[in-house]
Amino acid sequence: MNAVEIAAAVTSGRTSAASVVEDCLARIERLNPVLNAFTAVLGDRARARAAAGVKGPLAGVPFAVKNLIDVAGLPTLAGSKINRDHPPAAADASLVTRLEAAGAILVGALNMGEYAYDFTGENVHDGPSRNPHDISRMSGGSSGGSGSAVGGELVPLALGSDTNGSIRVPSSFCGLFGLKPTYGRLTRAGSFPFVSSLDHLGPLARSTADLAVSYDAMQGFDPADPACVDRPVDPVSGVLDKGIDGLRIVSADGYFRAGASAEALAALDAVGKALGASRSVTIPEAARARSAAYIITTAEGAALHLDRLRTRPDDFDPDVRDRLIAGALVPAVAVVQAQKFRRWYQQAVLRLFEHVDAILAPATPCVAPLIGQKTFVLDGKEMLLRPNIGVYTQPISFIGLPVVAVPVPTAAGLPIGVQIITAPWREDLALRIARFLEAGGVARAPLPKLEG
Amino acid sequence: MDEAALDVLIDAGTAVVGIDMKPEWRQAVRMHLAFSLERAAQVMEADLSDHLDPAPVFLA
Amino acid sequence: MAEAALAADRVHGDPAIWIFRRPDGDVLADARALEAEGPRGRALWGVPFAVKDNIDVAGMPTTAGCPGFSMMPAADAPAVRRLLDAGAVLLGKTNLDQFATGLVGTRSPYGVPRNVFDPALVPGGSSSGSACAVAAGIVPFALGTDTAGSGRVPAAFGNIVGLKPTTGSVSARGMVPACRSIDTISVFARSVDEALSVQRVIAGYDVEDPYSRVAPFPHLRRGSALGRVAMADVGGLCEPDVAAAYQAAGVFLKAEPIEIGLFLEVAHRLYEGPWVAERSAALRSIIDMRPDVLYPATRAILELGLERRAVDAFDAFHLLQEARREAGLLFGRYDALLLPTAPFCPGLAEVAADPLGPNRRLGSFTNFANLCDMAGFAVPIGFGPNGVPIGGVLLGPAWSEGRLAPLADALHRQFASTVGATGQALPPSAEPDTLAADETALFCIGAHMAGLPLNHQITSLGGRFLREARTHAGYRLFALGNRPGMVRADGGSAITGEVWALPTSAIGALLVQVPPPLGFGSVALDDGPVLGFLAESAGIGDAPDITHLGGWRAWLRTKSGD
Repeated sequence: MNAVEIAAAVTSGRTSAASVVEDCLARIERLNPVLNAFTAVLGDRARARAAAGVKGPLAGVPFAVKNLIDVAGLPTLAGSKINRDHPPAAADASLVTRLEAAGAILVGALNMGEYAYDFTGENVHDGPSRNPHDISRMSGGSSGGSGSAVGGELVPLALGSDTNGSIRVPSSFCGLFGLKPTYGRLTRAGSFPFVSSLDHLGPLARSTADLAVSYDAMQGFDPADPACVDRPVDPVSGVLDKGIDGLRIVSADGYFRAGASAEALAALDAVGKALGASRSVTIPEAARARSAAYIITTAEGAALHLDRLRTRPDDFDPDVRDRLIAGALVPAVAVVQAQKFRRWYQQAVLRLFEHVDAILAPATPCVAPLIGQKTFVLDGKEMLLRPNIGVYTQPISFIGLPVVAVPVPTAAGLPIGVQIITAPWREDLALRIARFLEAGGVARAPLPKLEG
Repeated sequence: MDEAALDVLIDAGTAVVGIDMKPEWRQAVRMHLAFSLERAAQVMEADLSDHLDPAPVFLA
Repeated sequence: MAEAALAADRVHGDPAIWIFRRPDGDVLADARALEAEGPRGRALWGVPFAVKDNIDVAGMPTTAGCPGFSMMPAADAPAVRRLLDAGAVLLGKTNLDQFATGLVGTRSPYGVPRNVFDPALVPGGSSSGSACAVAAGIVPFALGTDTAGSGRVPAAFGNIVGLKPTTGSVSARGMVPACRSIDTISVFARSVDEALSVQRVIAGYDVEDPYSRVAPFPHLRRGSALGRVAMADVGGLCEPDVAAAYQAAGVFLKAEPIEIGLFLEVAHRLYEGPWVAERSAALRSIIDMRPDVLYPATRAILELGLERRAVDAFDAFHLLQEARREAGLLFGRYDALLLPTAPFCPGLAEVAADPLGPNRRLGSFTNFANLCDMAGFAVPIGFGPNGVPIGGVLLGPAWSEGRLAPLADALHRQFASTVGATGQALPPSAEPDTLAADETALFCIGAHMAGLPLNHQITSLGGRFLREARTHAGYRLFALGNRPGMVRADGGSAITGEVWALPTSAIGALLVQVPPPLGFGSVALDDGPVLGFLAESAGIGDAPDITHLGGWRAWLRTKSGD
């Protein structure tokens, strides 16, 4: 059952939160050994909360959070070994508190790539989280456990973080609806940072209604996150079904088609066709935007971890450590120039939104690769996999635009995501378009086939 | 940059920021640094106005 | 087909698969002769195959992977003879771990067949060449042998099916023995049903093989996929990707966890102990007279066997008997036991550095099956990093091949869609065999149904599931304690049950186990009358009437509170 179906059943008394929680915990116990999505399961906490009674639009809905989000009583791992030595978090992160205030029930913390510097969902300390549609494949990162847990129906709702694509990539690989809201929309208070100037939190779910209801529950200013913008709440649940009449929807061309696999292009074109998006638009300087995002990420990430790189280098995932060390050596002028470029690029892209309401682009260049895969073949050319998974997500989050990733089935039998990108603060439009695609059957979260 | 030049940068840079560079990391660090510097070069090539303000913490 | 096989062999280009490849001209001549003759009802007419080189083919040397042992047999092994008589076309004799001693596939002076997925990994053994020939798409099936896992481990590493038949069901005459009391010829194939169809050709009692056994019932008929599966908590002994794939397979089959420590221990104790002596016994004259012809790792193992003591063997016999009893109890409760085929796939370098350790670990989950008189199918259950295939084994008691087949086939198709490394789609599943002339359909309504406590009375007599069915309205169902009684009655209802095919000769053996007031009689189903369980109305007494629930399973559900 999706989140809103569970909430309706609990609210009407057709089922109880306690029974939902028991079913959920039983399913986690059965399937998590396969998927490795969870790093902590909070059975006692969830049972106690269900017994205490829950009310609200998410009444009785089990959810889980990427383990860089604070959960009272657990050390906030952020996928690392080093943070295991941290004291347990004293309180839940703001978003956890807000979801629970809406009736949801936290059931656990989720596996992720170390310090969120990852697109694969692999983790050397906890093992890889696995793709529920083919467990030999990547869940996508860095919110891999979030994608795996929701894709495998262990929970209907999970929170992830997205710095360069970490919500949208696992949504694409695991076949989910994922929302990366506008930068500054949702509070990040109580989460472990990666690149503060690019970090976002957001939900992954199996339907647009679930995204909308959870997103509404999480909105609202929070002075505890300096990047959180003080603006009125914009509820979207009530407007989801307003359709797409009058919306100007276009596809991104150029950079956003080059390097895409046949599956990615077929999904993009299917979505474009369903939306009547016959026109295309060129997002200027997307390649440079991606490079600038890369530079800011690697330098700011290195600054965040500098002390740990000095004192505990051997406790890092070597792949993360070596990238961060390289990041510490990037010239400062390049970082500042990247921020200047970001200003320019933002202005250029915002001008596009004077003429369009939404831009479509692939979420990932390919369907989920095999775990451990290092390269992929495109147009007969072998390319490095890891640096290229985020090529289409990175230039978008770089300027904080809201995106809904929608899952589209492919001929390969695995899902792939398409990004619906809108102007800042217009999550409502992206969700309406996603809802239209969902209602028309073009986008849907495939059921996992784990049980015979 | 060739390997030798990268190694000079790695040795000097890690010494400056206080990272104790180990030989077994070098090959991977060199590869990532080369990739980062390519990205940096692309950024630095951008022709930007002198009056453009950096966006250190970005507000959408 | 023979031409395609020869072409595929050329393209694959791995001479280490073969110890003796027949000349192309001979193979084609056989194929043309068969073509001229027409099928004449032969099951394997024109199908190319390969034979592990520890099985005799007349006119070709049998080396068992040891050139110094090479001898020229006068006659085909009966298994090979049956295949040739069924119209199959032999391509040649395949490489193996010398004397079938090993699970790695590297212990051969004839080279190491290339792992078809990653040349840095072992192909698996001992039936390395036969498995690779199928995995590479050269032949659709091949004969191997299996004593401790040689017919299963290389199937896992090649993403193909390995059928390990009931010991003694195929004549082992003409096979170089490894552990003679538990050896069997085995089958590598593209799918479970193709393996089963080959097995139907080669299986049969052979009075000249003292270890040959008479099948107690026709055991190679395919049923429908239905069964209660057990699995074990052995993920910790495996590489993480194997553990995850195993868990996923268990989830798919709804397997229930059980403890198998005794099985793991028995294999460990026997192969580390007295059972090595059985291998040494088979090759005693070579070890004594010409040890220098042996491959170093093989020699080291076989020489160990000479020092084993008979008193230890008796300890081992008793332990083994305990494990066999445990297996009997296990298969009273479950139709099959699911295990990983191998806990990992070692690299060639790892095996070169340590010839014994990785090999020993490979057999963790295969080496007790023959000792405990089990049969099984090894099937692909997914892929690990970089596309290395992972296998699982479904084990059942002796003579359970036909019953296991539909389960194993469903498992295979859930996790794999192509054969070996060929990229070719799996051959289609076979239909369940319809009721045979020597079988009787029996309508079961209670504890004899699948997964319920008395189902083993049916399966141990050779029963196989055909379908679910319902009676005409006109029956009443009563709960007589732990079993139901069905009585013909006006104003009754339709009752749901299962139709099982039982060897007609076994009806009496089942009937004597059925206590009054139950018995057999003709039951009117929607599609006609069949034999079924009925109760004498006099014996019902005041038992609760559960007719309104429509069947025994519904009654069990109300009792369990679900």
